[in-house]
Amino acid sequence: MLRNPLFIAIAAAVIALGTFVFVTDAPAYAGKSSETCANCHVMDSMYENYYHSAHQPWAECSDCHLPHDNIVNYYIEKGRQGMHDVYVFSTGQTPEVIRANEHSKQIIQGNCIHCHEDAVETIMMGAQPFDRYCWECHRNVAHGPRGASIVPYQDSNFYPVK
Amino acid sequence: MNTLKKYTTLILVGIIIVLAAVLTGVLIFIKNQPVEERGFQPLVEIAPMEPNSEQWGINFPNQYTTFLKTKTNNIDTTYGGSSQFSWLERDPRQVILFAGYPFSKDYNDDRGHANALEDVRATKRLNLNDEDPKHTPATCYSCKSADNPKLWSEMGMEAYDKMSFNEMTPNINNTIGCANCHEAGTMRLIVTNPALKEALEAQGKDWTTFTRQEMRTVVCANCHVEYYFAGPGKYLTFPWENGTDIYSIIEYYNELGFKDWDYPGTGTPTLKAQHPEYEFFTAGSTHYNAGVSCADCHMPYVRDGAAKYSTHDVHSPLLNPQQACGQCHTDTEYVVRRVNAIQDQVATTKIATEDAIIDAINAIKLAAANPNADQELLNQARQLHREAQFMWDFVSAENSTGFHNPEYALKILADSTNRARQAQMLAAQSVNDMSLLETGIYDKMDPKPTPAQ
Repeated sequence: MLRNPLFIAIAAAVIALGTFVFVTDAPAYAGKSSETCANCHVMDSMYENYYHSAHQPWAECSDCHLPHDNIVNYYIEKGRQGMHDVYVFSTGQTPEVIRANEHSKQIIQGNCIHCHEDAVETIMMGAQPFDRYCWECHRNVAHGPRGASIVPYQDSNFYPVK
Repeated sequence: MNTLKKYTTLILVGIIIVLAAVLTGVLIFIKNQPVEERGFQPLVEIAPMEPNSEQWGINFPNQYTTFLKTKTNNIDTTYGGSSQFSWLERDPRQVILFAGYPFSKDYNDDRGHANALEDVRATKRLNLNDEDPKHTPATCYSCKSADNPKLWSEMGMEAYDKMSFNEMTPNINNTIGCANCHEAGTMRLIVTNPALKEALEAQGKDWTTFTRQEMRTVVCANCHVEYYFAGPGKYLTFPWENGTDIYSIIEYYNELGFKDWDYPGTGTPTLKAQHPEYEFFTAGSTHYNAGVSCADCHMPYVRDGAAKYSTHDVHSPLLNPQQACGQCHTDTEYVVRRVNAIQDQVATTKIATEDAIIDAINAIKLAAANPNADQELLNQARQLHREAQFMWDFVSAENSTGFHNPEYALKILADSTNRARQAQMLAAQSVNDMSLLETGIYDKMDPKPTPAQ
């Protein structure tokens, strides 16, 4: 059996991957700790101002930034966003100001409602669709008053002059 | 062995059939479950355009009880608020500026929505003598009652406006209410005033395509706008065909040759501005450009237990800045100080404008009394007086002392003052008399004017 090159290759791969996983704490990326997101320094300011915000005692990054409608969607999106961030970071394309894109905003908004459903049901549900994001008014709740904010009021093209 | 194998097959087939049946049963059960509903469950059905807000209140107790507070929320701010103070007593210059027009008799600040009907019936501006061709038309009820949407849909606004105020009175039993902004059943925000629908159409806009956030501003335009009564039928019309900014509205009135009254002594065809909050706020104000709606500040979301709802106790946000401003601005004290600074500035500038217009009126009166006056120069002076006065009134009648759009307010007042002073100079030129350039007419008046009888 030890002579079988396939066995040797597999064993080597398992040992190498095992070491990699142990050394880099890779399983953390499958978890939901916010500290893991801050492993990467481009997330420093986001983590820092989240840490001082109202949601810090209650929510982790993933509670807002990943979908919670079902477990399959959760892990698919987790993988997709992770790969996206790795790609952007390793190819040096990280933007100066990091902001949630439309796709992300939809997820975040869904999570605002997911947790605060009882409070907002008379606002959100009805014949006329609610067409704003919660944080357009509640500007400080997620990333604090000093935050590298996700707020729209700094982006002049967010609400074009009508 | 063979028999066992035979049975195995049978048992397996049996298990599969049972599983399939169970699965089918579960699926049918799930499909027949009632759709899960969240949000509002109506207790009673509201008839379309139901004028009685009490009925709506059964389904929406939070909104209705806060609406009822507008009956008694008569609290003042520094420059406005919801008490009925008299503008003519607070600033007697306005007695001069509205001379010859009912606003010089009675011009009180507005109270909350629930008082609208009582207050329109009480004002001394009404002329209830139907024999008099200048009697008050039913059009004046247009923004005072939740009966209107139903009446408009039944009889049409044209027939409504042709009636007199007196004749319409028996049909009007409810003050402003739910039906003025909401569609029964769905509670969607809707345009109910036909004049607003037509004015938006004249600009090529279809309100049914607007988002909810836009509607949270547009429903206010059912009433909080500049309007006039067109033709002998007193048809309610918004002067928006050229646009909603002040210059487009002046252009519209000039093209039409419309006037509200002739100013006594000067012969100026004068205009009265109404309450152009919508036009003012949407003219590129910083809050409008940031996507803020009227309701965001005037009807902020409040909490009652676990529920959040938009308060219907509409009043000045300066009376509840923590809720009205605090949702977006963390430093509420700072922003309130800013509002005060802006309103101080606009209020002071407004008085300077009024003084300039009064000086112009004085000069034009003297020139008009002179038979040798150059009529062309005098007419130019009258036109400038007309525009200056409308521009001033556009800021003055707008209920925010400039805050809804501070830069716009100061720009309009500056332009108005400029036109008033030009009018005065032209009047002096028309009779070649330097004494008409006298200024500070109001300051020298003793005693100050009192409301006309």
